[in-house]
Amino acid sequence: MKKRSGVFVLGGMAIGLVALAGCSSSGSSGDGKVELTFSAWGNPAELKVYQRAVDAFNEQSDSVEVELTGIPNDNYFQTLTTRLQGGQAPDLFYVGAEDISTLISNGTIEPLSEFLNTDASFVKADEFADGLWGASQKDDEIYGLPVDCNPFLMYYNKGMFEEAGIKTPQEYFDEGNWNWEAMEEVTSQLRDAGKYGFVQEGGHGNIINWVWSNGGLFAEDDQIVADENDLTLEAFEFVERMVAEDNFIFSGTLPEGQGMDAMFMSNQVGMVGAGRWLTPMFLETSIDFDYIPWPTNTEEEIPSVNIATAYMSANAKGDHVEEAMEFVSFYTSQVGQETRLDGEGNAVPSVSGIDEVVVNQEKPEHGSYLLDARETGRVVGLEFTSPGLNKELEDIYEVMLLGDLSPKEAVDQAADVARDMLGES
Amino acid sequence: MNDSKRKWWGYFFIAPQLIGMLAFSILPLGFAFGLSFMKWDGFGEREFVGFANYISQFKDDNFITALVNTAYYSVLVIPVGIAAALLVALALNKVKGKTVYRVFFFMPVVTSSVSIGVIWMWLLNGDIGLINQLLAMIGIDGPNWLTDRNLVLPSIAGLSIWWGLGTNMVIFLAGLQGISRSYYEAADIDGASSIQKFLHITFPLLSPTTFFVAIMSVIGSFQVFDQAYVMTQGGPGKASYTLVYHIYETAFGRTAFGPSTASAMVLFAIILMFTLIQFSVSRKWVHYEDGGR
Repeated sequence: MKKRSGVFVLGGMAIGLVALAGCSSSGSSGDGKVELTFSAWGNPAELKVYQRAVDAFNEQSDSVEVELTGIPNDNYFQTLTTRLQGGQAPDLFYVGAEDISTLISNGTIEPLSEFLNTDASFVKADEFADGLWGASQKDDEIYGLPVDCNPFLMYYNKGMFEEAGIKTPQEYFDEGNWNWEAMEEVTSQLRDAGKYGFVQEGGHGNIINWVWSNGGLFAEDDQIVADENDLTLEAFEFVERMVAEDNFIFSGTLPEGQGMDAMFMSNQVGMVGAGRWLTPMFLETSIDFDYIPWPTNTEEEIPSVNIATAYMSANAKGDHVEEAMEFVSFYTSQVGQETRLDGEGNAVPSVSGIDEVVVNQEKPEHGSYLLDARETGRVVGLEFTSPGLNKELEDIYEVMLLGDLSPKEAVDQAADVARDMLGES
Repeated sequence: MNDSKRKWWGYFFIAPQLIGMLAFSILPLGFAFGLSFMKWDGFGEREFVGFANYISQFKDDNFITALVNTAYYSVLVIPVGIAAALLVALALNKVKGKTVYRVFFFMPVVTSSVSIGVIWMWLLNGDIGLINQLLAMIGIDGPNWLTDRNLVLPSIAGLSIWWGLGTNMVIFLAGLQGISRSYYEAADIDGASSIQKFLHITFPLLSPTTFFVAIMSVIGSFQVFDQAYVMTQGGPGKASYTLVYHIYETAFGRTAFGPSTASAMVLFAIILMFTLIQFSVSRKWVHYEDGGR
């Protein structure tokens, strides 16, 4: 009898453990506040920045307490979807622009438009910059709010330009000549001085900067037009030639741990293209750097290039959806963004009225270029509405940048794959 | 203790293993098999689509590429891997200080695949990698091992052979030590040479071990994933895109679980087929010392 009861105890414990594991991730805290879980990607420095807004929210709320958990950037979406499938997902979370369409189509995230019109919302839809909605809107319904945004521009190492006696991008810009020809000129000079000119990354979001700054298009009105647009091909040809002639170095050939940020900080490369996210790290070094808009090949002074953004969404199956939406609206509101982005922030506000958080910094000198790039830029839309397409395009560009595929072949293949996968989804 | 009680105790002791296998192997396998006939993005309703997922996979260029790459990788890895492990085991069976050497060869096996991948990414780097630095010393301008589409799979295969050497070597060593000394003594009396002893005693009596290693190598090589995932992400282009990588990418990259599990079932069928072929061919070349099976 004794033995049998032992088995029952063990069995009971096992069932208890399973039941515990099946519990919803949110609940109520001891002081009666509703507890919400929130997950986002980011390095430890970025998570500290996010925590500032979480703390500000918790302080002002009598009824809700939010807890932030970081998930590593690698495989973030895979981790999130696995947790969503298992009913273990947090109440609110970051979603990448390239992934949000998947969660919209399967009804996992809560529509936000109605809530945004209520008094409970800390932000209104019209406060956000127009070009940032991308794939987060479907049939006029909003499913995710842009947490902030990161328009692409270039960082250049002022010290390196001076030392090599090369005219700086800012000088070209002041003359009204900061174009592709100038880009080729400075990167050639940097190369001849024994440095790398520019690090070219391979993903679609990076290549599209060259396409758009040439006036080309990859997609238009929900149609793929890349292979019919001469300006798009011209952009591919330019990037391919720059890499082939060693003006640019393709990041895919760099060894592990030698990314463009490491190369920039160790004075190996003169220029890198990115959003504001590299700024806090670069400020910790003694490197004298500044921003410059993407070089243009059009009539515009500042071309329209890519804006990277993440969205914040509420889990439709969470236990406290209303409270989750309240936090989403706070986190992306003026107050939430100001709390996060002031000082050595890593992004640009996606709402109007708090631009001074970007320009009130002494370094880098030309913070205003980030705001200019936000006004002219846009988020990649159609290409990010098919799960997995981003990776397929990246593979094609990689082969081109390694010299095994001509620009024409790359454009044609990319257009074919995109049409194929968008038709599928 | 009577027989029936003894039997129940037997079941009791194997229960944890049995439950574990049921929960983590048999049930997921059954679930995956069922899923391979469904359309499902990981959320919501599943829709039965018959063989559509299988048909779509065989029409999918990525699946075909993955299949070809995996087959090519296996052809590179299996024969060389087995031969190298056998040679090392033969050498270590006699050498002095064999324990030290065994540790040396076995060390990579207990190192995590991610660490191995990262270290080899450095070693194989075209510009600053140690391998090319060594080649430069003898006047050879080394290639970009991991970014050259023709070299990436052979490079990964080389790393896999090195990585798997320890496991196979230990199994071969165990096999070698299981061969009775009396055969060699008899051969010595008959005046047999070393080569004759190897061909007529060692190799035949080692055949059950070789058979086991061969089966495990086929299974292992068809499931290659870690190296391609860590080192190349299946690239450049799709040059190191393997079958398991395709299964992963289809499931989690495209959130297409139906086609993904269909690919997994095809992989299962391929491995099963090769194992059955090996078993049927084995009757011709595998010799057991006691003549039994």
